Amino acid sequence: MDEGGEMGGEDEENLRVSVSEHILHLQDVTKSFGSLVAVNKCSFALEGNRITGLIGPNGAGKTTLFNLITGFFPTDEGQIIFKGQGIHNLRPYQVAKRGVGRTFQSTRVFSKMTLMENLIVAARVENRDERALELLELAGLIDLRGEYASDLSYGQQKLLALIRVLMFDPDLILLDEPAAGINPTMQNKIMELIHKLKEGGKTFLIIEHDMEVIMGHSDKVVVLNFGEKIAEGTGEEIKKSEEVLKAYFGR
Amino acid sequence: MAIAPLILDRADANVAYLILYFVALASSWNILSGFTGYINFGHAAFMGMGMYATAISMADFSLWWPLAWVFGGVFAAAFALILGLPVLRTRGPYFAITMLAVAEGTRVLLGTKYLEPITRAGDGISFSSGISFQTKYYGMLVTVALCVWVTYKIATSQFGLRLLAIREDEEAAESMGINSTRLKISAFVISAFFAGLAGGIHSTFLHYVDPFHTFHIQFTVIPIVMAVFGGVGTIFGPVIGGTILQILNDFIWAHFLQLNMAVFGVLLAVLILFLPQGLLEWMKEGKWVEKTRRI
Amino acid sequence: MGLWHLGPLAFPAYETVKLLPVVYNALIVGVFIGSIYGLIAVGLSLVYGVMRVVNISHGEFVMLGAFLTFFAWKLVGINPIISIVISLVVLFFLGLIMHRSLVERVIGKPMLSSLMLTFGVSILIWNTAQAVFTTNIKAVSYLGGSVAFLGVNIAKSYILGFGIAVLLVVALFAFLKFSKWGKAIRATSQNDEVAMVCGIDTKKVRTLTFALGAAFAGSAGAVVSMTWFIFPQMGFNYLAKAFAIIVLGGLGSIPGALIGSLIYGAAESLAGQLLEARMSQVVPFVILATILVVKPSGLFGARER
Repeated sequence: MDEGGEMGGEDEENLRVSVSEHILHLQDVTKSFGSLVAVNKCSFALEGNRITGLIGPNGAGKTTLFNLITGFFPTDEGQIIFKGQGIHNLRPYQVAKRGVGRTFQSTRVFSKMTLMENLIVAARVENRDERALELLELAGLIDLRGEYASDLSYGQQKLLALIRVLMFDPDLILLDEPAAGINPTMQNKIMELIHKLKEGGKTFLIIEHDMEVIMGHSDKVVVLNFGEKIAEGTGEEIKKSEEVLKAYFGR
Repeated sequence: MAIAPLILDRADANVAYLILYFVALASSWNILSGFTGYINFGHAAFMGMGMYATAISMADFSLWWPLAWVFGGVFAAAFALILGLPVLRTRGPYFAITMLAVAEGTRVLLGTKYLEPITRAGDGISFSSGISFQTKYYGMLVTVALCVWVTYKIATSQFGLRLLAIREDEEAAESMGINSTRLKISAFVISAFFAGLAGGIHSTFLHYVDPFHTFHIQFTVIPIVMAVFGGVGTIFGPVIGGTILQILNDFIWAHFLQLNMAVFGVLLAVLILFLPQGLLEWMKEGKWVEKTRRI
Repeated sequence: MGLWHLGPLAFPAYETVKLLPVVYNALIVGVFIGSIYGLIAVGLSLVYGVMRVVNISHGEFVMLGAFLTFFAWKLVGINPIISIVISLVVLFFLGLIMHRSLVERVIGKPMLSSLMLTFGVSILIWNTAQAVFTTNIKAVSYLGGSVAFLGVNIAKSYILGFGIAVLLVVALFAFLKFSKWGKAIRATSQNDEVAMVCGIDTKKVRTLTFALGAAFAGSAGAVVSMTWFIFPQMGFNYLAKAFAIIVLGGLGSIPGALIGSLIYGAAESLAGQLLEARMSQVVPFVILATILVVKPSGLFGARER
C-alpha cells in the first residue's frame, strides 16, 4: 500500500501510470548543505484532493522539503514531479505559476502594504479586486482591508498569508505550520477554511507539530526523521507505528 | 517652473535648470532603487552613457538634436538591459557593489585606447549643439514631467506593487509566481532610459563630455541623497528632495567647496540613521499628508 | 593528410609560444599582487560573514593606512615597515569607533541601510582626505629594487606585501581557531541567534570583527603605500577588487577569499601584460559579471539560488 516511493527513477512507464493518480511525486529526493544531509532519498506521493500531513521532530527536513518542492533549492539528486512534469529544477516563480502555492513558518506578509495590496500583488487575473474582496470576506478580514499588514495580529497575518496564496489559484498548497502560535478558535477557523478548499478541489500538504490538528484533519500522514521518510499512512497507523514513536520519544 | 526661463535672468534660470536636472536623476534612480530596494550605486554610468551617446551622435553623425537626446536615453536603456541580465538575477549586496564597479569600469573603459576612435579617450569631445537654452530647459522640464508621470503610473499599478513586494520580501514574492528578475530588469531599463535622456540633454548644455567629468561619482551620490531625503519609493519624494537639496547645494558649493561631497556623505549617513524613509513618507506616516501611493 | 597540413597553425602557435614567458611572468607576479589584495578582501569577508554588512568604506581604511604610513615617513621619519604595525593598531581603533557609533545601529535593519550608511561614510572619508591631503599623487619610495624569484623579477615591496599578508592571515586563522574570541566570532557568523543564546556577547563580537577588518585593511594600506601610488580616492578601487575577490571566492568564505585573491591577482596581472595597462582596472568588473552569470555563489559559497 505504500505505493508512492517504490519506483526506480528511470522507469518512465511506471511513472506515467502513477502520476495520473498522484498530483505530486517525490522520488529519491536528496539535498545536502555541505556535510549536512538535510533530505535523504525521500520518496512519497500525494493524492490529489486530499490533505496530507508532514510531521517529524525538529530538524527532520520538513521545511527543506518544502523549499525543494517550491524551487528555493535545486535537488542534489532525485526528482519532484508535479502533475506529470518535473519541477525540481525550476525557479520559485515558475513552480508557483505551475500551480503550487506555499506559506511560511513566519508569515512573511508584506508589512508595509495594506491587506488589499498584499492580495492584489499575487493576482494573475483581471478581476483581481473582486477576487481579493471575496477572499477577505471568506477569511473574515474584510473590514481590515485598508490596514497595513504589520498592524494585524499574528493569527490574522496567518490567515492573510493563506488567502494570499489562494489569489493565484494553485492546485497544490503547502502550508508550513498554519496553526502554530494561534488560539484554538482561530485554528478552527483556519482548518475549516482548508477543508472547504479541499472540497473545492485543492490538495494540501501541511507541516504541523500539533498532533491533534494533524490527526484530526489529515487523510494521510508522512513522517520524516533526519531527512528520511520513516513512515507513511493514516493517522491511526502512524500513532501505532514503532518507528514514529522511536523518533519522537526514543533514544 | 514652467515659465522660469522667460522671467528669470540667465544665472537664475541656470539654477532652475540644474534643479530639474538633478530631480531627473533622483527620480529616475528612484524608479529602480526606491521601489525594489536594489540600490544602484552606478546610476552615473547611465547618465554618462546617455551623455556620450548624444554627444557622439551629434558631433560625429550630425544627428538632429531631439533624436540625439532620445538616442541618449535609448542607448543607456540598452546598456542597462545587457547589464541587468546577469546582475539582477542575484540578491543582496551583489547588485549595489557591482554597479559601483560598473560606474568606475565604464569611466576607465571609455578612457582606454581601445575605444579612442569613438570616444576620444581622455581628451573628451567638444561639440556645438546649435540649440537655445530655452529648448534645453524645456527639454529637461519635459523629461522630469515624463519621469514623474511614469513613476506615478508604476506606483499605482500592479507592476509597482510587485516592485514593492520585491523590496519587502523577494522570496515570498517569488513564491507567489512573481518573476522578480524580469520585473527588476524592467524597472532598471526604465530608470536608465530617463537617466540617459537627462544626460543627453545635459551634454548639449555643457557642449563637452569626457570620462572624468561625465562619470564623476557626484552624479550618483547627490541624486541618491536627494531621493533618500525626499522619500524613496514615493512619487514626489525625489522631486521634493531634489529641489530642496539642489538649492542647498548652491549654498554648500559657496561655503564648503572642497568638502561638497563630504557634506552629502554626512547627510546620507544621518538620514539613514534618523529618517530612512525620507521626508514625504515621514509626512505620510504623521498624517500631515494623505497616506496614499499616489504621491 | 601530412604534417604540412599543420602549416597554417604554425603562426598562431608561434605567437602563443612567444607569449608563454609573459604569461609565466604575469602569473608569478600575480600571486604576489593577489596576496596584498587578499589581505584587504579577508577583512571585508569577515565583516560580511559575521554581520551581513558590506562595508563600502572598507577601501577607505586602506587609504587611511596608506596615508598614515606616508605622513609618518615623510614628516616624522618613521620606518614604513614599522608603520605596518602602526596602521594595524590605529585602524583597529578607528574601526572600533566607527562600528560602535554608526554601524551597530543598522545591524538587523535591511541591507539597504548598511549599504547607504557605509557609502555615506566612505564619501565623507575620501572627500575629507582629498581636501586635507590634496589630490597630488604620492608614494613611499622606501623599498626600491627587485629580487629574482623563480626566474621572475619581483619588486621587493611585493615580497614584503606577500610576507605580511601570509603572517597576518595565519595569525587570523590561529586566532579564529584557538582563541575564545575567535571561536565566538566563528559561532556568531554561523548563527548569531544561537550564539547569543549560548551566552556570547554578539555586539562585542561584531565590534571586534569590524575593528579587525579595518586593521587588516589599514596594514594592507601601509604595504600599498610602498608598492603603488596613493591618492585620496584610491579606496574605491581596492573595494571593487576586494569585492570581486570575495564574490569569486564565495561570500562569507575566508578560504574562498584567499584563493580568489590569488586567482584575481593572476587575472589582473595577465590583463595588464597582454592588453593595455589600464585594462587591468576593468578586471574587477569583468570577473564580477562572469561569476554572477556562471555561478553566483562563487567557488566556495553555499548560498541557495
